[in-house]
Amino acid sequence: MRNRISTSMLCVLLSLPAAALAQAPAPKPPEGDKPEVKPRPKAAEPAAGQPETAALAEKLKQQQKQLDEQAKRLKKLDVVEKKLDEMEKERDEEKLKKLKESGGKSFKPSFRIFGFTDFSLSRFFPKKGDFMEVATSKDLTFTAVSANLYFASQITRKLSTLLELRFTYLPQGVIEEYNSYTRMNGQLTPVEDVQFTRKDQTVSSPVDATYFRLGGLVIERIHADYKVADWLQIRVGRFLTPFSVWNTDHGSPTVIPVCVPYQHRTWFVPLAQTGIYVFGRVFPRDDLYIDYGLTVSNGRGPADSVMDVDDHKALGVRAKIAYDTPKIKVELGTYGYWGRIKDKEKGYYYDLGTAEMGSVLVTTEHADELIATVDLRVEAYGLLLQSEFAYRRVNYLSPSSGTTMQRSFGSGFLTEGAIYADFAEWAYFALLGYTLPLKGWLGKMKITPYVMHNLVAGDNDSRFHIPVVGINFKPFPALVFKAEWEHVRSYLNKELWAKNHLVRIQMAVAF
Amino acid sequence: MIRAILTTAAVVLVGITSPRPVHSESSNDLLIIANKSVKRGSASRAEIRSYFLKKRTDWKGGGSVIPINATRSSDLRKAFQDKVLQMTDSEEEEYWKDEGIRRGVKKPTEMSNTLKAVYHLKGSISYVFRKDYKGDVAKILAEF
Repeated sequence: MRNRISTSMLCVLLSLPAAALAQAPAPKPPEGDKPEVKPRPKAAEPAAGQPETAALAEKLKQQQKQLDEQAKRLKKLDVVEKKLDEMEKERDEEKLKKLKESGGKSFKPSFRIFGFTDFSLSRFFPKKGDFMEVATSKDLTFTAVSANLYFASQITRKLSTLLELRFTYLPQGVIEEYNSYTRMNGQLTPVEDVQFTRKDQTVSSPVDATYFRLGGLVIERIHADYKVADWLQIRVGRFLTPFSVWNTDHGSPTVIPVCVPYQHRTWFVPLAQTGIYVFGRVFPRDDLYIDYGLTVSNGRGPADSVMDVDDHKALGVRAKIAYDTPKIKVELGTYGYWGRIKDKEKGYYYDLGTAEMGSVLVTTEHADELIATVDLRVEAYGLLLQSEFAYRRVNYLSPSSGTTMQRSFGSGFLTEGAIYADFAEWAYFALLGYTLPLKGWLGKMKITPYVMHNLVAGDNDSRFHIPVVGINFKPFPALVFKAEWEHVRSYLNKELWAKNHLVRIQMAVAF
Repeated sequence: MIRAILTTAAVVLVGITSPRPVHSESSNDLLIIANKSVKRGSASRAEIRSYFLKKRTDWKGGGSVIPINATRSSDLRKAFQDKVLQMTDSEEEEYWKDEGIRRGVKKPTEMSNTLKAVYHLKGSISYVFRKDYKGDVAKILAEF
């Protein structure tokens, strides 16, 4: 109705003045009068030998030649583009075929290899005569310690495997024993039967006497996953403990700083476990999800990756809530772990009287371990805040002299036959970084300065304070450079025991 | 002159009094499309994002999701990165590098003809410009 009124109004408006405003036709000229048409003057013929005209003609000729050449090039380009289109079409068909196979009844497994590595230059600055002068390398050092390789396979639509191997030059250069001295009146006297030993993995080939230096292989994780649905997945094998953002990120191209939090270096929480992990994810909202999981494993032990030395299994519970949008991400998680560590020395006996043989098992370590962790990660408008707190309590069930369940710091010198007391310790780290808003100048490159603080403390009044300042530069996603200064202050029984700092530059590559 | 003024006035009058369309469609609108086997009738930006970043691998109504990207550096891919993922190309690349290290996950397959791929693959989701969409070939879940 509205439309009809509008249209008719338009017609009325348009028609009203039409007759009044119509232009009067032009008057006809009187008959007999023909307009006088003056002849056009003829264009002047180029005079023979005029240089400008000849030059112009030559220029035109050249331009025509250029146009012809361009037309030829365009034709060739057309042919190339057509070929590219055909190749892309063939590639699409091939990909479509593979995808159909992966989604259809006859599934074709897939396999990928990828990984990362990093290289560093570092210099440790301990106080002269400090214990740390020998505990770490203080000399300016290039390091290319390891490379991690991933082998990922999708066996069926629901079943996949992941193997992560770390290739390393270690244990080359590991110090197995330090020289030991007593000092009296400034005179050093070596302790007998104690000698400095550094591991040397150099071997000579029996075939041609070529020297080789052997390295090592660490199986970071190896597990098979079966996905029932997003809310229920089962992982079996050796898996990373789902207890922190750091442990999940764990690769040098992914984490921001060079420095690994002290509690991760010393296995405050078991970084990996052998057993079963049942987990899932639900979405209460499209931008909000909750992860949950249960771990059952060998726990921590002298050979936990290979076997358990008792029937007791370690239990762990994981929960995490995440709010995920393009501009703001918030993740808050927690992990609780209860495990028992037991170690035994095995032997045989032979009864001289009865000629009977039997086994002898001596328990050398028996303790319960309880761990609770909380982790937080916030990313908003270039700002990154990452923090983790962990608490650990160890209760010995019988006098133990084993070495598996040590404090992270402050155990003192290990002496044979020493009996350890129950202990508690806690650790936290907090990292704050900001990716500078320089997209206009840097394009896809990212610069993120950061500060970090790491604290490990125990109920024996020992403390480890580690403030860190650094900068992370990512020219493109597969490559990152980091430069960092780390200061370490160690306190034993509330007294400052050591004060050092460390400078490191690292380059990490994901391939 | 007077005719011109009156014509303009009439056009303005028509414009004011005519009912306005809710959404002016453009041929460069981005359509999120899914295979006809998918039970979903629509999806939010956050839901679509979670499929393409593999934070979620099952459809809300059930069944596995197969996300398919357009080829990298294509206008279509850039439009999707801008309007749905809200990431730059290098941010998306960085995300997949990190996810590979964290979980061993690989990024979605890339195809130059996303409409054809979605038509053929059960459970698949992708995107196409409106001008390239052929009616009834796939389900439209969202428009951006």
